Formats: sequence, structure tokens, C-alpha cells
Amino acid sequence: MIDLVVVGRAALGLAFGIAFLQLGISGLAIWQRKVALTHAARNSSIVLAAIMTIAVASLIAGFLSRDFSIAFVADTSSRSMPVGLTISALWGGQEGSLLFWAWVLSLFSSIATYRMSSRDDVLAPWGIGTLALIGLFFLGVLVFVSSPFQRLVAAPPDGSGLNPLLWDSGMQVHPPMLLTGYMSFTIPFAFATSILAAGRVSQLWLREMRNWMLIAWAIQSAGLLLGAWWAYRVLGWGGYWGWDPVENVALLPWLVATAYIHSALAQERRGQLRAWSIGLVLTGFALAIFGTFVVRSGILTSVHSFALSNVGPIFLIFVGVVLVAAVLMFIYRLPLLRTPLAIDSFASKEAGFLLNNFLLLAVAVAVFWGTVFPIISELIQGSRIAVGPPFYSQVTVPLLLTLLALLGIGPLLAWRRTTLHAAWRSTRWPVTLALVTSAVLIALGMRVGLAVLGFSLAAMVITGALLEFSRSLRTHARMANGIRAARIGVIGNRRRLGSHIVHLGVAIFAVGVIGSSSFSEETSVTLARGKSAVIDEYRLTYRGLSTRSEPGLTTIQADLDVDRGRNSSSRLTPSRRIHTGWENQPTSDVAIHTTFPALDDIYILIDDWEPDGSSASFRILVNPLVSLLWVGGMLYFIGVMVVAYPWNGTRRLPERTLPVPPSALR
Amino acid sequence: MRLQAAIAIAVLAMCMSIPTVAANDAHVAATYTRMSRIASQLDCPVCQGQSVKDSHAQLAQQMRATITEKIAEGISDDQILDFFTARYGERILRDPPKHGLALGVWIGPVVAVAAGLAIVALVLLRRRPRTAPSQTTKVDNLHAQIDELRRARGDGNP
Repeated sequence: MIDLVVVGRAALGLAFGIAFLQLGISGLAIWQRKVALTHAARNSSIVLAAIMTIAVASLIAGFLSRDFSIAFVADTSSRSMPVGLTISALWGGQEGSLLFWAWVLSLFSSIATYRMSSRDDVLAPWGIGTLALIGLFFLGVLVFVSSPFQRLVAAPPDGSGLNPLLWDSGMQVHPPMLLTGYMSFTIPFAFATSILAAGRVSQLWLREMRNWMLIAWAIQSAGLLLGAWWAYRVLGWGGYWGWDPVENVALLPWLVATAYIHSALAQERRGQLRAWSIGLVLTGFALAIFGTFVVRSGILTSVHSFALSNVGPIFLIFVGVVLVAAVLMFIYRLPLLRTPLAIDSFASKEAGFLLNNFLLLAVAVAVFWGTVFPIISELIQGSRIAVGPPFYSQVTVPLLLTLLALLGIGPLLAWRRTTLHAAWRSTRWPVTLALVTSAVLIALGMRVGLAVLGFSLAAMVITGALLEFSRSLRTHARMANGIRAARIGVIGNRRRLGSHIVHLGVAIFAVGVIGSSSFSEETSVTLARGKSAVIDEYRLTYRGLSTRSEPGLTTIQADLDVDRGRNSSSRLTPSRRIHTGWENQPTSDVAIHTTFPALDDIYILIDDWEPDGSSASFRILVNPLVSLLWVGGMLYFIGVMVVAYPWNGTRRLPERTLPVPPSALR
Repeated sequence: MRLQAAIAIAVLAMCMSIPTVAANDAHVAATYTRMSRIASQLDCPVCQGQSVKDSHAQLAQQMRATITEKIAEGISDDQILDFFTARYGERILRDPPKHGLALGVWIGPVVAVAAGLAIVALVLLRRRPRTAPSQTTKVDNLHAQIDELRRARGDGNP
């Protein structure tokens, strides 16, 4: 039998060596300006990816063969875990997560380095070298500090397994997506630092950087959304976002990436905000590494810190060194990067982008500050000051509502300047609809001011996006004839069209957030069998309890019927799972029923129960409109696909004459 | 006679207890709402990042019971919060207090927003009446070409 520990360690050691070699070759390629050397460095990242795949495969083989002589396998898996869950134990602990991170980085790098070398001969070796350096750091941690292939002296008969809270399908999608998201900020960072290091700007390079940032942004969005969905289904407190530090640090790179995607448009179309955009790429990477480090270090105690670690300080030093270097280079190259920022009018797309960036960054600063403040307070006064959801909602809600308003108006404005008349012509319908929505909601008796405002702004965004959508279709249909022309129009404007779909998704998402955060109702009841409780307009009847026992797991399930008086009832079955070895931590399986057309989520979990099932206590929530989060999220991703799909197939505007300083054209 | 009186009194008591029970239910619901509002402002001391309201931990359950008791004793929300603050320190409050060092967490974002707004305002107000020559756009180019053509034809003063 193959010794998996030996194979894994050998693979990681070899990978470390190759990354070192790759760094050396990149340096030589910069020094000697030889394209052949650049190609050699590029090719080594394919070898690196292959060897990393072997390392990951041997750890997975360890999981599948239940090889508990590997410490990591014994720590994160057990015989009672099903196969799918056992594989996802790969990211159930620090060592495996870092291995996964480094593996996905090697896969992305092998594509990115290929594209780099075909884009620019001067910048490519710098970019490849940066990727090699970051890969080297992670491999160094994996080889010397926190190896996933630690051997136990005596293999236990069974592993301790994952925390039962993680026994869920969400575990198979959310952590890898988020880890990949964090990782993917590395690629645009490598593009940005190569510009800074080489002191050369190329439009092709900037565009390629934009594409990679778009990918990072999309993956991070997916990770966040899956996290919200998982928390809602599993954590059992009825919400999907708790301003938990680990959630916050995942949100930060997303906010910065969103700001970048808008400023990059101003950069591409009008040659503005170039230095700013590059600054955002650097910030995004710093926050992504900070996120990786926070999740793994336990510096911010939260529900996610299942793993306490020894890698914290190393990460801190790495982030520090990389950032100081990047910031110094950035300052040094500022004269080269700076573009004149002349905004002709307040009513212009550029002004909109500026405001968009300001608002997104203001949210990011507030969230960052709230997240690190407990640490700062601990350093200053020795005790932690807790910063909870009330702080975040008070600070971010005004900013986010302003952002929603901007989302309604900004996309409708023209570049450079819009006359007041034209601005009114393009915004009159959305604005009217917003006002009508306000009036209708108030007339219907809605008295929560923020909700009325939020819903009205969302209505404005939705109208605006739909109008723009139909307008672009109509214009192209008019220009030529028939369906073909419309189709060409759609393809030609793909990015624009995609952005409208994304905005539509965001607005629908916002409606879900506003509805569920303003109008959620909660109650706790103890019901005897056959008795009912009424919450909001729903009646819940407790029908009884059933217990199911499997090896390693006991499930207690309650049956409830929910109806609205006249309608036929639906069956809801919340349950409690008690895993052997985790008896003190019974996990809740929440029952969620979405009503139609009211879109209320009836959300029930068992609090307590009599063993004979004669009565049971439930916590019942009615969460309106939460399902819109998932609808909006889907739409958002359809939009992202439309924007990102054909990188080179999109009809592009001809290259503009851009204000590139002569020094850049060496 | 005595039996009849006893029955009458019992029925009367039952009738009277109906509104009392109903009122009691309403009272319980109101107490629950108040309790969850207070509990949601307290950080569960033994869990990580969860409020007393959302936590399943034993201590959180006890704290919820304590809050319910205090409400029954007629103590105000603020006094209940003060009670827990005195016991566990200010770290138990999820909403940081607006005095002392904790004021810093509130000031930070305000300063950032003010600074950001100042920068945005500066940039917008510094806008130039005419675009810089480096900012040639299609429209500007077209205007220049039209002017040139006119000049070449010798008509009009550009």
C-alpha cells in the first residue's frame, strides 16, 4: 500500500522547491529580459499545479481510506461521516484549508501566467514572480509550520469528526467557494504589482486585470451568498447575516472589488481613476489575505473560530511585508499612474462612479473599524468592547440606502455630462414609480419609515433597469430589422445588459433584506399534542414527536401543520440531531416553509420537548421576503455570467487614446 | 344550599378567570417581546459572537430567565441592562456604549465619511470649465475635425 503521508509530504516539498525555482527563473527573466525564461517560469506553474493536485489527492485518499494515522484526517473526520461530507472535511481545519487555498492558487496561476506571458513581455515575469512568491509563502507554511500530513504515533480506531454544526450540504459549497474567493484576489494583485514594479502601463494588461478581478468578485459574491443561505438554514436564529467578524472580513474584499468594478469602467472608458483603481486592487488583496488569516487565527472570537492556530503571527508578518512593499511601490509610481480627474458635471456617470466608490468604501471602513475595534480596545484597556449588530446597522443602513438611490439614478446618466432636461427625461419614470410606491405603501398602512424608503428606492432601481433593458433592445431593433438585429444588439451590449441584470438582482435582494429585517415576527410557544398557536396570520398545530435512531445519530422530529385558516395545510418537520460524542451540542434542523404569494418564510425550530412527545416548545419566526434574497442572488449571477462570459468575443470599442504619460511608453 | 353557593362561586371564578387568563397570555407575550429585546442587546458571555437571545447555551437560558424575572418584578429595561453590565462589565453590551473608549468605534466611521465626502466634494468642485487636452473624446475629435474642414473650405470663423 502507498504511504499517503510520504506521498503528500514529498509532493508538498517538491512543490515548494518548484515555486522557489519559479521565483528564481522569473527574477532571471526580469534581469536578462529573455522571453524564453518567462516561458520557462510560466510552464513551471503548470508543473506546480500538477504536483499540488497530487498532494490534495493524497489527503483525500487518506480521508476515503479512513487513514486515521494522519493527524488531520483523525481530527476532522470519523467513520460515521458519509463520503461527501468526509471529502469536505478537507477544509474542516486549518491545515486542509491552507492546502486547498494553495492548490486552487496553483490552478488559477497556471491559467493566469499563461495569459500574462501572451499579453506583455515586460510585465509578465513580474506578474509570474509575484504569484510564485505568494505560492511560496503558502507552501512554506504547509511544509514547515502547519503540515496537513502530520503522522500520529498511534492511529486511533476512529477520528473525532467534524463539529455537528458543519454536517450539512452547505459545508460542501460555502467554505471552498469562500476560500477560492479569497485566493482569487491574488491574481489581480499580481497584475497590479507587476505594473508598479516594472513601471509600465499597458491597456491590454489593465483589461486582463479587470477580467480577473471580475472573476474574484463573482466567486466572492457566491461565497457570501452561500454563507448567508447556510446560516439561515442551519444556525437556527432566523437570520442570514449576523455581522459576525468572520462574515465581516469576507464582506470587506467584496465591497472593495465592487468599488473597483465601477472605477475600472471610468478607467477604461474615460481614462480616469487609474491610480485609484490599482489602489483598490491592492486593498482588495490585503483584505482577502486578512480574511484568510482571521478565519484561521482565532484572533477575533466568533462562532466560526473552530480552529485556533499557530499561523496567525506568520500571516500577520506576511501581510505586513507584502503591503508595505506594495504601498511603497504604489507611492513611488503614483506620478506614472495618475490620470487627470476632471469631472464635467455632477449629473454624469463619472460623478456617479465617484459617489459609488465613496459609499462602498465608507461601508468598508465602518465594517473594518467595527471588526477590529474589539482588538484595539483590548490592546488599550485590557478588556474587549463588544461591537454588535446594532452598531453595524446604525452605521451602514444610511450609507446602503444612499447607495440604493444612486443605483437607481447613476446608470441612467450619460458620460461626461447630462443636461438637466435629459437627466429628467431618463429618470422621470423610475422617480415617479418610487413616489407612487411610497404613496401606496403608506396608504396600505406601512409605518416603518426606513422600509418605505427602501422599498421605494428598490422600485426605482427595478424600473430603471427594466427601462434601460428594453431601451437597448428597441434601439438595436430600430437600427436594423428583425430578431437577428436584436440579437446582435444584445451581444454587442452584453456588458451593459449584464450590468442591468446584476442591478436588478441587487434591488430584488435589497427588497428581501429590507422586508425580513423590518417585519420579522418571533414567538416561543409550548404546545401540547393537537394544540395550536397563532403567529401573524398563520396557525400552527403540533401533531406529535417521532424519534429515529441510527448508529451514531439520534434524530428527534416534530410534526406540525401550518395553515391560514381556509387553505389546505402544509406539514413542517423541524428536528433535533444528537450525534454520539457531541451529546452536549444537539443541532437543530430548522423547518422552513415559504408561503405563496405572501412570500413569508415560516421558520420553526424545536427548543425543548417531553420525551413522550406529549408537548414540545418551539421557536417560531415569520420572516417575510427572505426568498427574494435567493431570487435576487440568482439573477445577480445570471447578470455576472452575461458580463463575464465571452472575454474576447465581445465587440469592443476601438482602443482609445488615453492619457498615458510619455514615461510609460518606454 | 352550601353546595349551590360553592358551584356558583366556582363558575363565577371561572368566568372571571377567562379574561384574566387571556390578559395573562397577552401579558406573557408582551413580557416575551421585552425579554427578547433586552436579550438581543446582550452578548452571550460563554458563546462566540451570539446574543443571549439567540444562544442555546445554558448560561444564556438562565440569563433569559433572569430577565423575565426582573421584568415581572417591574424593573425597567435600562436597569436590567445596568444589572448585567455591573455583573459582567461593559463587554456584555452588544451595542457599544457612547462614552469612554467605546466612543471611538462610533467616531471612526463618522470621521471616515466626513473625510471621504470632503475629498469627493473637492474633486467635484475642482471640475474644470473645459476638458484638459489629454481628455480627447470622440465628440471633441469630431468638433476639431469639423472646425478643420470648415477652415480648409475657408468659411466661418472657428
